[in-house]
Amino acid sequence: MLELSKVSKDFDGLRAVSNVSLSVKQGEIVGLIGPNGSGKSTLLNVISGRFPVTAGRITFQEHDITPLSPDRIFHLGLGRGFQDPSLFYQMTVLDNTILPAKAQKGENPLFAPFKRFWRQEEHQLAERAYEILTQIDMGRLFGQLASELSGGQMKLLDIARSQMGNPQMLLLDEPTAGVAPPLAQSIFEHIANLRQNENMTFLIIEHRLDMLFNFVDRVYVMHMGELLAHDTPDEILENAEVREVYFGD
Amino acid sequence: MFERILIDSLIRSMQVGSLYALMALGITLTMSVLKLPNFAHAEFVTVGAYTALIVSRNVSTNPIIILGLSAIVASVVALVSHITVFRPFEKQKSSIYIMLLASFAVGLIIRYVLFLTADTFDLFDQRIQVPLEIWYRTDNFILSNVFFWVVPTSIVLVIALSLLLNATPLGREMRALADNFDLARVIGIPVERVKWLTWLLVGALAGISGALWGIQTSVSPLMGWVVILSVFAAAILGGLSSFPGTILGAYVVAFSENTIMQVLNFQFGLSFSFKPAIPFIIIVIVLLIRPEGFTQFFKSNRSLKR
Repeated sequence: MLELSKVSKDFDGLRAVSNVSLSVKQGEIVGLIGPNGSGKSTLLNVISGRFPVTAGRITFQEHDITPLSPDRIFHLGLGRGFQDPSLFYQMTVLDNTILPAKAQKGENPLFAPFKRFWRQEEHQLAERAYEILTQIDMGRLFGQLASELSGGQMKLLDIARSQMGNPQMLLLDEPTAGVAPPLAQSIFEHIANLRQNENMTFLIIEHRLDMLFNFVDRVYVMHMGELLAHDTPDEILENAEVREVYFGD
Repeated sequence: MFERILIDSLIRSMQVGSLYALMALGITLTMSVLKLPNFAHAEFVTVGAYTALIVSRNVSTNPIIILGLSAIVASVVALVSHITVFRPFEKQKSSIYIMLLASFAVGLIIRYVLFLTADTFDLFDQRIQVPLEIWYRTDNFILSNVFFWVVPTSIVLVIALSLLLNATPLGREMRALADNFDLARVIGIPVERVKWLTWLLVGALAGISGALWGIQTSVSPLMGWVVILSVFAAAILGGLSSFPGTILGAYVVAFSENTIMQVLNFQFGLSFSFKPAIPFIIIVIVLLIRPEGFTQFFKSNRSLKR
């Protein structure tokens, strides 16, 4: 589904990601781990089109997405969440959820002034958004400003928003960072449900390995911008090289 | 006598304030959605006024046609300046200072093109050819048809703009750009398209306010530049982000330039040459007491930015 071949990214001559090749198949949940500064987030930003690649090629469902802008990549069905929950803080929870929906009539300047052209579509979107929010127990918060939510709720809203564009695959950057353990567990359960019910695919950066390893099929380990290892969770835990860079033993 | 001056200046404050509001909303919109303190807005206004002048002489004296064509021409000028100047600078991730200077440059270019045009066709200080009618008269004051175009048109446009921003999907996208531009890009909002539409909207607003301003006074290549400082004052009073704050700011500036000036002149003999200074004195006082402008008065989820 997602295929990276020999992807590199330089910042002012500094190599942040070096020669990374990885692949994720339809319906998989794949983990991406590594010490701080190993280039995981940069890699996610490169895949989602936020940073242009320096070298290499990225394909998503047979499309070459290497040169595409973030909104084009998003519309192909590759969504993403953020490490620091990145929301429209001055807008409501409902607005935040609806915004990524694919192009609507009411966004066309010719139709926007006339409500009858887009009322129905808007209703459907609002209902779908409400449904998604209810799945994560936030249905009753739809009218609240995003800036008034708790940290965990912001994370959940971030995921709910990525869902709204009906993506086939989500890139998540530390979905449980700064979240209390019970909520973290339910965030991962939500992810597992999405895989099961909507056949969604995930590539997840996470530091909570105990949590992550219960849910992922495979794990990639990055170190100093390079791919260090790639295996199932159990094998990764046994891998001496990984233990050395990651756990320091 | 004093009553008469007072009422007369209050009517003028209303009229000028409505137009300031229309222009200042354009500045607030560029500032929050496009992140640009756009001084060329002054020249978009002048372009609208000159379009109105030329249309009123050669095409029609129907105010609807005049305003419509002014809006179209000014919005095209705004969009062209985005494509040719502001977007290339944005692509290079230029700082806001460079963008500010670029907006001055765009303004200068347009202003002197207008000077050349005005010189060629002898269009200095001309009145727009709209018939002036007295609609209402008492001993104390006169209301002309101009008042009834300027004030209701501005109010209707301000309401329409607020509805567009707060109650349509297009407005939601614009608010998203104002709130967090990078995020808007990543979650698939076609930012460049929304920017184009914002520029067209801002240009149209400037064009209409220019035409109305020209109908109210007269048209000259410097007219936009003369009012832009008062308009920026209004936008700054509104905190450069809140719509209701900007509108209140516009009326405060207009009121102090007209009514307060009149009163000071009548009571203390203060010369009218101090008129431009008054709004700035008020701004200094307001910003010293409330650095965030009037935004706090309207703290709601509808403001464009924090």
